[in-house]
Amino acid sequence: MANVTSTAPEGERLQLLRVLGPAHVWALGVGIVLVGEYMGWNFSVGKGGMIAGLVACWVAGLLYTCVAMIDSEVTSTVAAAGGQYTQAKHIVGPLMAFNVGLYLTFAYTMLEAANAITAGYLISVVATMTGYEGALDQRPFIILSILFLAWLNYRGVLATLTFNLVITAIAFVAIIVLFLSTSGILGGGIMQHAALFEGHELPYGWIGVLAAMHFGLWYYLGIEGTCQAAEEVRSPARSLPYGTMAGIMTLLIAATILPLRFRISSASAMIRILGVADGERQRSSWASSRTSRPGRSIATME
Amino acid sequence: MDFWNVLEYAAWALSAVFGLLMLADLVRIDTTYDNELLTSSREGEIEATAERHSI
Repeated sequence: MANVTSTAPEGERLQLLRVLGPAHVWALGVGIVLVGEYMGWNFSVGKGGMIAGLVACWVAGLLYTCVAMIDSEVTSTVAAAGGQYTQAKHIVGPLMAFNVGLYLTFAYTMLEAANAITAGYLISVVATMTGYEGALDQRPFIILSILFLAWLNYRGVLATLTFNLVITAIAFVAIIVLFLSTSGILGGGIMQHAALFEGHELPYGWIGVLAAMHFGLWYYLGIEGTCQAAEEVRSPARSLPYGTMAGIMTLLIAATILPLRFRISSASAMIRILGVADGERQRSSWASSRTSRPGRSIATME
Repeated sequence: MDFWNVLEYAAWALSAVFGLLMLADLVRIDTTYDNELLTSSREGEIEATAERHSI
């Protein structure tokens, strides 16, 4: 901006710079969501048990894959900043655009506040763990988080999303390290996942699946944010679908690996719940059929 | 003074620096450029195309 003349020549307008590539789009989508990969399982399993958490993960995964496909498809044709707001504006009308814009503003304002508060809390936990006595004042860290993010956005979308790309990559590697170090693949496993199946697979029955559903969305919630960068992407028709679909695949992998150890045993537990006699009958009929793949895969899983 | 107390003060100071930087830039931009230029952006190419279009 510094070299631009102070008055606009006739007809000249300010416009956004097209500086982003698919990797930035990927980092934007995955970066918004990734905290849910850490927190989602705790809450969804707590609400409805392990199988409810698993069903929520699958159902929400299907829903969000559709969301990602629709969003990337629509936005690559309506390539304007604002994401769902712009889609609503061009597809439905100004009133819908107002509503959607308001929801988006609320959502991201609350999301930023919640993340800043979590950052402050985590810093105080680290302080206590390192021997700090008394309660650490969390306010300076909360305010610093918000002001730093505001300043980063102020610097521009390229600086923000390049920084975002780095921290998202670190967070994703951390998920893989967490998986490897707790699952028993590297060293001894400390988790007792098998205990989740000893008589309380579905502690609240199938209604627990509904209770788990809204935390199941955490594994993917926010991937639709990729289309907000449509106007700053160098080639929206290519980069947006590419970045968004790579993002949803990353999230599906991250949501899957954390409970991978009990995924296999949960399949057999689910068959038990659906009815042992029925399951036995199906299995024997599958086993007798040479062409039946489901039978073979379930037998393998058990 | 404890390490964490130093960090608290550092966080306050950094927050003030970021806030002042943004304020200073706001004033600089506001006094350097016309309002007409600053409010001239349009939402995407579609809107710009629609404005240029005449029947």
